[in-house]
Amino acid sequence: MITNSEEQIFVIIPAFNEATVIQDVTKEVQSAGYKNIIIVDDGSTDNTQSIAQQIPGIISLKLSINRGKGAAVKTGIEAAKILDADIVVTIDGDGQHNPKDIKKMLELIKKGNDVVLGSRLLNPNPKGMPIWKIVANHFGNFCTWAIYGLWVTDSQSGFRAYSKKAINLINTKTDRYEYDSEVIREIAQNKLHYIEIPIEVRYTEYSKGKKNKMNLLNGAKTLIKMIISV
Amino acid sequence: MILQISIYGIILGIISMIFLLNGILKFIRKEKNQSLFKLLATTIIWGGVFTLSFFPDIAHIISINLGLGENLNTLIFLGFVINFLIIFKLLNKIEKMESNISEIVRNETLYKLNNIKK
Repeated sequence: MITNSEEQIFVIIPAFNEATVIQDVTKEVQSAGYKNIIIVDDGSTDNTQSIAQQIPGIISLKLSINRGKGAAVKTGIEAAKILDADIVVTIDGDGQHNPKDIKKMLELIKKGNDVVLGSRLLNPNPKGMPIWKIVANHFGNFCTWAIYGLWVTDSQSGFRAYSKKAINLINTKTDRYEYDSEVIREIAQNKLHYIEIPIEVRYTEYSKGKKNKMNLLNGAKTLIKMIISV
Repeated sequence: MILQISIYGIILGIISMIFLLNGILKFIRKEKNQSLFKLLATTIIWGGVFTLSFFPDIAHIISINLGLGENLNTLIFLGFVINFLIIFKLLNKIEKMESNISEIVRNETLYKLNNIKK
Protein backbone atom coordinates (compact mmCIF):
# COMPACT_ATOMS: atom_id res chain seq x y z
CA MET A 1 0.00 0.00 0.00
CA ILE A 2 2.76 2.45 0.90
CA THR A 3 5.72 2.63 -1.42
CA ASN A 4 9.19 2.87 0.05
CA SER A 5 11.19 5.64 -1.50
CA GLU A 6 13.83 7.96 -0.16
CA GLU A 7 11.28 10.56 0.76
CA GLN A 8 7.79 9.66 1.79
CA ILE A 9 5.48 12.00 -0.08
CA PHE A 10 1.83 11.88 0.88
CA VAL A 11 -1.01 13.51 -1.02
CA ILE A 12 -4.07 14.32 1.09
CA ILE A 13 -7.43 14.63 -0.63
CA PRO A 14 -10.27 15.90 1.59
CA ALA A 15 -13.62 14.93 0.11
CA PHE A 16 -17.19 15.79 1.01
CA ASN A 17 -19.87 14.36 -1.28
CA GLU A 18 -17.44 13.98 -4.18
CA ALA A 19 -18.65 10.55 -5.34
CA THR A 20 -18.93 11.80 -8.95
CA VAL A 21 -15.30 12.85 -9.27
CA ILE A 22 -13.23 11.29 -6.49
CA GLN A 23 -12.12 8.33 -8.59
CA ASP A 24 -10.95 10.52 -11.49
CA VAL A 25 -9.19 12.95 -9.15
CA THR A 26 -7.35 10.11 -7.41
CA LYS A 27 -6.40 8.45 -10.70
CA GLU A 28 -5.03 11.75 -11.97
CA VAL A 29 -2.85 12.07 -8.86
CA GLN A 30 -1.68 8.48 -9.30
CA SER A 31 -0.94 9.10 -12.99
CA ALA A 32 1.19 12.08 -11.99
CA GLY A 33 3.39 9.61 -10.12
CA TYR A 34 2.23 9.79 -6.52
CA LYS A 35 1.38 6.53 -4.84
CA ASN A 36 0.85 7.53 -1.22
CA ILE A 37 -2.61 9.00 -1.32
CA ILE A 38 -4.87 9.54 1.68
CA ILE A 39 -8.51 10.30 0.95
CA VAL A 40 -10.34 11.73 3.96
CA ASP A 41 -14.08 11.47 3.55
CA ASP A 42 -15.55 14.28 5.62
CA GLY A 43 -18.74 12.49 6.65
CA SER A 44 -20.20 12.39 3.13
CA THR A 45 -23.85 11.47 2.70
CA ASP A 46 -23.25 9.99 -0.77
CA ASN A 47 -21.09 6.95 -1.59
CA THR A 48 -17.74 8.80 -1.69
CA GLN A 49 -16.32 6.45 0.95
CA SER A 50 -17.32 3.21 -0.80
CA ILE A 51 -15.87 4.48 -4.10
CA ALA A 52 -12.66 5.58 -2.36
CA GLN A 53 -12.30 2.17 -0.73
CA GLN A 54 -12.44 0.49 -4.14
CA ILE A 55 -9.52 2.52 -5.51
CA PRO A 56 -6.45 0.27 -5.29
CA GLY A 57 -3.35 1.38 -3.41
CA ILE A 58 -4.73 4.30 -1.47
CA ILE A 59 -5.56 4.91 2.18
CA SER A 60 -9.19 5.75 2.72
CA LEU A 61 -10.28 7.37 5.97
CA LYS A 62 -13.72 8.53 7.00
CA LEU A 63 -14.81 11.05 9.61
CA SER A 64 -18.02 9.66 11.12
CA ILE A 65 -19.71 13.08 10.95
CA ASN A 66 -19.10 16.11 8.76
CA ARG A 67 -16.54 18.34 10.49
CA GLY A 68 -15.44 20.60 7.67
CA LYS A 69 -12.63 20.84 5.16
CA GLY A 70 -10.09 21.99 7.76
CA ALA A 71 -10.84 19.05 10.05
CA ALA A 72 -10.54 16.63 7.13
CA VAL A 73 -7.21 18.07 5.98
CA LYS A 74 -5.85 18.02 9.52
CA THR A 75 -6.93 14.37 9.89
CA GLY A 76 -5.10 13.56 6.66
CA ILE A 77 -1.96 15.34 7.86
CA GLU A 78 -2.09 13.53 11.22
CA ALA A 79 -2.44 10.22 9.34
CA ALA A 80 0.55 11.12 7.17
CA LYS A 81 2.56 11.91 10.31
CA ILE A 82 1.70 8.48 11.73
CA LEU A 83 2.97 6.98 8.46
CA ASP A 84 6.27 8.92 8.72
CA ALA A 85 5.63 11.36 5.90
CA ASP A 86 8.48 13.64 4.90
CA ILE A 87 6.42 15.87 2.63
CA VAL A 88 2.66 16.36 2.61
CA VAL A 89 0.67 17.82 -0.27
CA THR A 90 -2.98 18.81 0.13
CA ILE A 91 -5.20 19.01 -2.93
CA ASP A 92 -8.94 19.65 -3.26
CA GLY A 93 -11.23 16.70 -3.93
CA ASP A 94 -13.35 18.36 -6.62
CA GLY A 95 -10.70 18.18 -9.33
CA GLN A 96 -10.07 21.91 -9.64
CA HIS A 97 -6.32 21.48 -9.09
CA ASN A 98 -3.91 19.95 -11.55
CA PRO A 99 -1.70 17.29 -9.88
CA LYS A 100 1.05 18.12 -12.40
CA ASP A 101 1.71 21.24 -10.28
CA ILE A 102 2.78 19.01 -7.37
CA LYS A 103 6.19 18.45 -9.00
CA LYS A 104 7.03 22.17 -8.81
CA MET A 105 5.91 22.26 -5.19
CA LEU A 106 8.11 19.32 -4.23
CA GLU A 107 11.13 20.88 -5.91
CA LEU A 108 10.64 24.03 -3.84
CA ILE A 109 10.26 22.04 -0.61
CA LYS A 110 13.48 20.18 -1.44
CA LYS A 111 15.19 23.54 -1.96
CA GLY A 112 14.55 24.37 1.71
CA ASN A 113 11.10 25.92 1.83
CA ASP A 114 8.85 24.73 4.64
CA VAL A 115 5.55 25.53 2.96
CA VAL A 116 4.64 26.01 -0.71
CA LEU A 117 1.33 27.78 -1.25
CA GLY A 118 -0.44 27.26 -4.53
CA SER A 119 -1.94 30.55 -5.66
CA ARG A 120 -4.75 30.82 -8.16
CA LEU A 121 -4.27 34.56 -8.40
CA LEU A 122 -0.59 34.42 -9.33
CA ASN A 123 -1.60 32.59 -12.47
CA PRO A 124 -1.67 35.17 -15.27
CA ASN A 125 -4.52 33.29 -16.90
CA PRO A 126 -6.93 31.96 -14.24
CA LYS A 127 -9.33 30.41 -16.74
CA GLY A 128 -12.95 30.36 -15.68
CA MET A 129 -12.43 31.89 -12.23
CA PRO A 130 -15.59 33.92 -11.60
CA ILE A 131 -15.13 37.64 -10.90
CA TRP A 132 -16.99 37.40 -7.58
CA LYS A 133 -14.56 34.70 -6.51
CA ILE A 134 -11.57 36.88 -7.38
CA VAL A 135 -13.06 39.79 -5.38
CA ALA A 136 -13.93 37.48 -2.45
CA ASN A 137 -10.42 36.09 -2.56
CA HIS A 138 -8.85 39.56 -2.32
CA PHE A 139 -11.16 40.31 0.62
CA GLY A 140 -10.13 37.01 2.26
CA ASN A 141 -6.47 37.91 1.76
CA PHE A 142 -7.04 41.31 3.34
CA CYS A 143 -8.83 39.76 6.37
CA THR A 144 -6.10 37.15 6.76
CA TRP A 145 -3.46 39.89 6.69
CA ALA A 146 -5.42 42.10 9.11
CA ILE A 147 -6.15 39.29 11.60
CA TYR A 148 -3.12 37.04 11.26
CA GLY A 149 -0.51 39.48 10.01
CA LEU A 150 0.86 37.84 6.86
CA TRP A 151 0.09 38.91 3.30
CA VAL A 152 -0.38 36.16 0.76
CA THR A 153 -2.02 36.29 -2.66
CA ASP A 154 -4.37 33.31 -2.13
CA SER A 155 -5.16 32.71 1.53
CA GLN A 156 -8.03 30.32 0.66
CA SER A 157 -6.13 27.95 -1.60
CA GLY A 158 -6.30 24.30 -0.59
CA PHE A 159 -3.40 23.26 -2.83
CA ARG A 160 -0.31 23.36 -0.63
CA ALA A 161 2.82 21.41 0.20
CA TYR A 162 4.43 21.09 3.62
CA SER A 163 7.81 19.87 4.78
CA LYS A 164 8.19 17.54 7.77
CA LYS A 165 9.22 20.53 9.90
CA ALA A 166 6.07 22.41 8.87
CA ILE A 167 3.64 19.56 9.59
CA ASN A 168 5.19 19.11 13.01
CA LEU A 169 5.00 22.82 13.88
CA ILE A 170 1.67 23.85 12.35
CA ASN A 171 -1.01 23.46 14.99
CA THR A 172 -4.47 24.48 13.83
CA LYS A 173 -7.69 24.52 15.84
CA THR A 174 -10.33 25.54 13.31
CA ASP A 175 -12.34 23.05 11.29
CA ARG A 176 -13.92 24.67 8.29
CA TYR A 177 -12.89 27.15 5.61
CA GLU A 178 -11.05 29.35 8.14
CA TYR A 179 -8.48 26.55 8.35
CA ASP A 180 -6.68 27.75 5.22
CA SER A 181 -6.18 31.19 6.75
CA GLU A 182 -5.17 29.73 10.10
CA VAL A 183 -2.32 27.92 8.38
CA ILE A 184 -1.09 31.34 7.22
CA ARG A 185 -1.08 32.48 10.87
CA GLU A 186 0.91 29.38 11.85
CA ILE A 187 3.45 30.11 9.08
CA ALA A 188 3.91 33.62 10.49
CA GLN A 189 4.04 32.56 14.14
CA ASN A 190 6.48 29.72 13.56
CA LYS A 191 8.57 31.83 11.16
CA LEU A 192 8.40 29.13 8.50
CA HIS A 193 9.99 29.69 5.09
CA TYR A 194 7.19 29.84 2.57
CA ILE A 195 6.83 30.56 -1.10
CA GLU A 196 3.84 31.06 -3.36
CA ILE A 197 3.64 29.61 -6.84
CA PRO A 198 1.04 30.02 -9.57
CA ILE A 199 -1.17 26.97 -9.99
CA GLU A 200 -3.54 25.91 -12.70
CA VAL A 201 -7.15 26.01 -11.64
CA ARG A 202 -9.92 24.25 -13.50
CA TYR A 203 -13.38 25.52 -12.72
CA THR A 204 -15.82 23.03 -14.13
CA GLU A 205 -19.61 23.15 -14.04
CA TYR A 206 -19.35 20.48 -11.35
CA SER A 207 -17.02 22.41 -9.05
CA LYS A 208 -18.93 25.67 -9.55
CA GLY A 209 -22.29 24.05 -8.93
CA LYS A 210 -21.38 22.13 -5.80
CA LYS A 211 -23.35 22.94 -2.69
CA ASN A 212 -21.70 23.91 0.59
CA LYS A 213 -19.00 25.91 -1.18
CA MET A 214 -17.87 29.27 0.07
CA ASN A 215 -20.64 31.83 -0.30
CA LEU A 216 -21.47 35.16 1.33
CA LEU A 217 -22.94 33.55 4.45
CA ASN A 218 -20.08 31.06 4.82
CA GLY A 219 -17.68 33.95 4.23
CA ALA A 220 -19.22 35.95 7.08
CA LYS A 221 -19.11 32.89 9.36
CA THR A 222 -15.48 32.28 8.42
CA LEU A 223 -14.59 35.89 9.25
CA ILE A 224 -16.27 35.67 12.68
CA LYS A 225 -14.48 32.39 13.43
CA MET A 226 -11.17 33.88 12.35
CA ILE A 227 -11.69 36.78 14.79
CA ILE A 228 -12.64 34.39 17.61
CA SER A 229 -9.64 32.14 16.93
CA VAL A 230 -7.13 34.97 17.55
CA MET B 1 -50.08 56.90 28.30
CA ILE B 2 -50.72 58.09 24.76
CA LEU B 3 -51.31 55.71 21.86
CA GLN B 4 -48.72 56.46 19.16
CA ILE B 5 -49.00 54.78 15.78
CA SER B 6 -45.98 54.80 13.50
CA ILE B 7 -44.74 52.49 10.71
CA TYR B 8 -41.95 51.16 12.96
CA GLY B 9 -44.47 50.62 15.75
CA ILE B 10 -46.81 48.67 13.48
CA ILE B 11 -43.97 46.47 12.13
CA LEU B 12 -42.66 45.82 15.65
CA GLY B 13 -46.21 45.18 16.87
CA ILE B 14 -46.85 42.61 14.13
CA ILE B 15 -43.53 40.82 14.77
CA SER B 16 -44.12 40.69 18.54
CA MET B 17 -47.69 39.51 18.01
CA ILE B 18 -46.48 36.65 15.77
CA PHE B 19 -43.98 35.50 18.42
CA LEU B 20 -46.53 35.92 21.20
CA LEU B 21 -49.21 33.90 19.40
CA ASN B 22 -46.66 31.29 18.38
CA GLY B 23 -45.61 30.85 22.02
CA ILE B 24 -49.21 30.59 23.22
CA LEU B 25 -50.13 28.09 20.47
CA LYS B 26 -47.09 25.92 21.26
CA PHE B 27 -48.15 25.83 24.92
CA ILE B 28 -51.79 24.99 24.05
CA ARG B 29 -50.64 22.21 21.68
CA LYS B 30 -48.43 20.90 24.52
CA GLU B 31 -45.46 20.77 22.19
CA LYS B 32 -42.15 19.34 23.40
CA ASN B 33 -40.16 21.45 25.90
CA GLN B 34 -43.08 23.80 26.59
CA SER B 35 -43.64 24.90 30.16
CA LEU B 36 -45.66 27.49 32.06
CA PHE B 37 -42.42 29.36 32.81
CA LYS B 38 -41.59 29.51 29.09
CA LEU B 39 -45.08 30.80 28.32
CA LEU B 40 -44.77 33.47 31.02
CA ALA B 41 -41.35 34.56 29.74
CA THR B 42 -42.68 34.74 26.16
CA THR B 43 -45.70 36.73 27.28
CA ILE B 44 -43.66 39.20 29.34
CA ILE B 45 -40.95 39.76 26.68
CA TRP B 46 -43.06 39.87 23.50
CA GLY B 47 -46.06 41.38 25.31
CA GLY B 48 -43.73 44.11 26.57
CA VAL B 49 -42.38 44.73 23.05
CA PHE B 50 -45.98 44.84 21.72
CA THR B 51 -47.08 47.33 24.37
CA LEU B 52 -43.99 49.53 23.94
CA SER B 53 -44.40 49.57 20.16
CA PHE B 54 -47.79 51.32 20.52
CA PHE B 55 -47.17 53.16 23.82
CA PRO B 56 -43.51 54.25 23.65
CA ASP B 57 -44.08 56.78 26.45
CA ILE B 58 -44.15 53.88 28.93
CA ALA B 59 -40.35 53.59 28.57
CA HIS B 60 -40.00 57.24 29.59
CA ILE B 61 -42.34 56.77 32.60
CA ILE B 62 -40.40 53.66 33.74
CA SER B 63 -37.12 55.52 33.32
CA ILE B 64 -38.29 58.41 35.52
CA ASN B 65 -39.79 56.06 38.15
CA LEU B 66 -36.51 54.11 38.29
CA GLY B 67 -34.66 57.35 38.89
CA LEU B 68 -32.75 57.19 35.61
CA GLY B 69 -34.32 60.34 34.24
CA GLU B 70 -33.11 60.94 30.70
CA ASN B 71 -30.34 58.32 30.95
CA LEU B 72 -32.45 55.45 29.60
CA ASN B 73 -30.61 55.53 26.26
CA THR B 74 -27.31 54.96 28.06
CA LEU B 75 -28.82 51.96 29.84
CA ILE B 76 -30.11 50.53 26.55
CA PHE B 77 -26.68 51.05 24.97
CA LEU B 78 -25.06 49.28 27.92
CA GLY B 79 -27.56 46.45 27.45
CA PHE B 80 -26.45 46.07 23.84
CA VAL B 81 -22.79 45.99 24.84
CA ILE B 82 -23.44 43.33 27.50
CA ASN B 83 -25.49 41.29 25.01
CA PHE B 84 -22.70 41.52 22.47
CA LEU B 85 -20.15 40.35 25.03
CA ILE B 86 -22.36 37.42 26.05
CA ILE B 87 -22.84 36.38 22.40
CA PHE B 88 -19.10 36.63 21.78
CA LYS B 89 -18.39 34.51 24.87
CA LEU B 90 -20.98 31.93 23.80
CA LEU B 91 -19.56 31.76 20.27
CA ASN B 92 -16.15 31.20 21.79
CA LYS B 93 -17.46 28.34 23.93
CA ILE B 94 -19.28 26.79 20.94
CA GLU B 95 -16.11 27.04 18.87
CA LYS B 96 -14.16 25.26 21.60
CA MET B 97 -16.78 22.51 21.80
CA GLU B 98 -16.75 22.14 18.00
CA SER B 99 -12.98 21.79 18.14
CA ASN B 100 -13.27 19.10 20.84
CA ILE B 101 -15.86 17.19 18.78
CA SER B 102 -13.51 17.27 15.79
CA GLU B 103 -10.68 15.98 17.95
CA ILE B 104 -12.80 13.05 19.17
CA VAL B 105 -13.93 12.23 15.60
CA ARG B 106 -10.32 12.51 14.37
CA ASN B 107 -8.97 10.22 17.10
CA GLU B 108 -11.69 7.69 16.27
CA THR B 109 -10.70 7.84 12.57
CA LEU B 110 -6.98 7.51 13.26
CA TYR B 111 -7.36 4.77 15.89
CA LYS B 112 -7.15 1.91 13.37
CA LEU B 113 -4.23 3.50 11.54
CA ASN B 114 -2.36 3.90 14.82
CA ASN B 115 -2.93 0.22 15.64
CA ILE B 116 -1.71 -0.90 12.19
CA LYS B 117 1.41 1.21 12.68
CA LYS B 118 2.08 -0.36 16.10
